[in-house]
Amino acid sequence: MKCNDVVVNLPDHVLGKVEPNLKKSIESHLELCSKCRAELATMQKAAMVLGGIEREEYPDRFWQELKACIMDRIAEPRTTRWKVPAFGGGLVVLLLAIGIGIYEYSTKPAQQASNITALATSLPSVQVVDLSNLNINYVDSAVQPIHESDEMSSVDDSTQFAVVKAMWTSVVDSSISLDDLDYTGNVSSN
Amino acid sequence: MQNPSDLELVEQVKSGNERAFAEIVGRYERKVFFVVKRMLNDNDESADATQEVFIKLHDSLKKFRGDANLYTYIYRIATNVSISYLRKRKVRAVVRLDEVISNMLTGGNEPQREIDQDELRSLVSKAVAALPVQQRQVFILRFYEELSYEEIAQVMHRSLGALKANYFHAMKKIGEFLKNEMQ
Repeated sequence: MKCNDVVVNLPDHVLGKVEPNLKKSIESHLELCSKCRAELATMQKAAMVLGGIEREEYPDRFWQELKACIMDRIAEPRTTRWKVPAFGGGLVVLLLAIGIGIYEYSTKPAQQASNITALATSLPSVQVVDLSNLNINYVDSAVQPIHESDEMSSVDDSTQFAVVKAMWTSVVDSSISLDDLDYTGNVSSN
Repeated sequence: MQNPSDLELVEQVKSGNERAFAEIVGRYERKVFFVVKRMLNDNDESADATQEVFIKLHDSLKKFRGDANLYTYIYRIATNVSISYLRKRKVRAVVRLDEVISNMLTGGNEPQREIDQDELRSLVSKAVAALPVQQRQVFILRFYEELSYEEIAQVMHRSLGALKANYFHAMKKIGEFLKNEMQ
């Protein structure tokens, strides 16, 4: 036997859980190999201490109560069993929907807004922001997104920003600060 | 039925008999609790995690086809739930066993002393809890639960060679830890 084959069997060997043939082979190897004998000494120490520990006992009442708790929780409706509130998942989806909505609205108008709404409505427990309520035509004519504008200097940035902010306020009651918006309507990275 | 087998109980649960599930809980709650407790080394979390194991079991029994033993299936859920609890511990000081051993080796030699059962149990719990997760799983299933390597392979989906190596390294680390701690 090679050392590797011996050492992986040492835990079972010291606990008396190897078959007689394997036991014989291990013992023959140990007689000749001081390195494996050192490993054996460590295993024996562990086995001696572990074997000396009395089994931990809990009163019957503990197990009865644990079982009762388990059965009570199983009887609960599934939605109330878990500690993570459904609100958390809903909020993530809501923010995602808003983020995608803003991006789509600033680059391609109109039809994407209804797609995002459909996506959000297909998910459970979500507060849906109906982006189709945005007055897209009004936005297109009054506020040219910066990357589509050939004449940046001719556009009054502060006016555009004010219009977008006003629309945002009318549509979304959001925890995102209005100061996070830049004048194209995107959420600013700052 | 006097003493139905695990599989018979599973079939009864599948047909809506919740008392059969209560019987399964009665059979395995101790085993699950101690596996989870040894994985987590925390009493409060262990009770919660044990409940979660049985809820997951209840929800997944419909898919259980009986091609593995129910108890290996339960052990798999128990170790997976434990691992997910370990991952949830966001800010908890984890002292690696290797570091503990190294600190002890650099410390002074204290005279050998007597330690009582409680202290011994606490020492072993500390040693087991400091093992890397896979070694801990294998050690608990092999040493405490006395599962065969083939059964552990069903629980953990790992090769027998890898499991034996994990068990050896776990025992070795525990042995070194105890040797140094008890000096």
